Amino acid sequence: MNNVFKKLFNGIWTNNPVLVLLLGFCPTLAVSTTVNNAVGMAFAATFVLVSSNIVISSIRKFVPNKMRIPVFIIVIATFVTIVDLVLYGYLPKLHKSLGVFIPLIVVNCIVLGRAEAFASKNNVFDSFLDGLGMGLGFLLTIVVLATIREVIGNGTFFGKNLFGLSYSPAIVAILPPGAFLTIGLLLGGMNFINIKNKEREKMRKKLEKESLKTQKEVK
Amino acid sequence: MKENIVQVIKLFLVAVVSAFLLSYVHSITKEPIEKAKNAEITEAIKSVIPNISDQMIIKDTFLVSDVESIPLKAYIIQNNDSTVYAYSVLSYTKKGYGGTITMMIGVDKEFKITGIYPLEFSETPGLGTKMTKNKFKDQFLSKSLSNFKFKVDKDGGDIQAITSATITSRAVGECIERGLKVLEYNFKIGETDSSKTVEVKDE
Repeated sequence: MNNVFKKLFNGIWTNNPVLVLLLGFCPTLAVSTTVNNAVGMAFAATFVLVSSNIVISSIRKFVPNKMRIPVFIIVIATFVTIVDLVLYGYLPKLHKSLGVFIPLIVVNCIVLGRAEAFASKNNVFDSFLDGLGMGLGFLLTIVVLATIREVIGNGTFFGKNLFGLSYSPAIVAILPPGAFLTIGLLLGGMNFINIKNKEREKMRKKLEKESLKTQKEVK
Repeated sequence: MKENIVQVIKLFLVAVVSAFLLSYVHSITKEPIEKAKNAEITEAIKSVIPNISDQMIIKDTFLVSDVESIPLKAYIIQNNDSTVYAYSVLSYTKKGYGGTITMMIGVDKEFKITGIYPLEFSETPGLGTKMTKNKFKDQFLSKSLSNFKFKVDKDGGDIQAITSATITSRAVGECIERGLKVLEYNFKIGETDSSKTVEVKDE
């Protein structure tokens, strides 16, 4: 059970697809203008990621090594088309606002990247967990990014007005430059936390060593 | 050589399985998609034409004209006694920031706009998509070709452009102008000369 949690956490934080692996920037930056779109996009991408990881890891012994990329693309494109059709049929409003970005999940580097780096080498259950973890990591990042951008750039959250009509939003946040500024700050924050953690770890080891030394000397 | 053939066959198998899966999903979702499209059209007509009642008849036709090479789909809304209550037209523009925009445009008998409703567009979310907001749309109400220049204020027209979405605003103007021109060409009585034929096809 602990192992399962570890694998999920790997996707959500340690190897976060956007903030650490730096994959899938295009949809992350483009669709994070409103939280609503971001959530829809993240769920669609997570579904594709999990299903393609499962299928690819279960056919990994059947697929010849030289042919693996075309096969991966066919599998991914199939799932993306399914998502596209189902969204159009049952959630036409969301389908409309996501527009061209649904078909573009096919070329989302996170999906192909995980297929190539993980699912083609690991068993079905691990690949499922990896896909889910990566999907959740993507969801978390894009939602944080979209929240910051929507609140600052439009004064709304999930389409609800936060500050009243007198607030004039800083539109730059929902323009493309705003996406780069925000993602830069997020990356910086992530690195800051990780570096601080490493330093703390070092300090703790040092202290442990010293305390061991002093214990020995006392003896 | 043998290895190559095996590879080709395996790739082919994967493609065949995926094609079957997709055709299965397509057959399931076909109906809901069709429904969603129709519901959208009806909803669009209802939102661009005020006080439309269920007893009114909506006829759809294709309009051909000098001003436009592609026939536009239009809807004639008739009262019970088959007098015309209003028109609406499905116009388009290719000059949107993200490609084609199609909109439903409703006009009354005097060809004054009673409402616009964007149907398909891929404008920037949060910027160009503000064209769906009333704040932008309301400026077109009760305007017609004779009393409004369908160009953005930057180009010397009357449209108040959306901040940082000038291209979208310009495209919307072009789209509305096209729809109005085609409608007036086909339906405006008096100013049209008799040689023009009005092509009205019932579906």
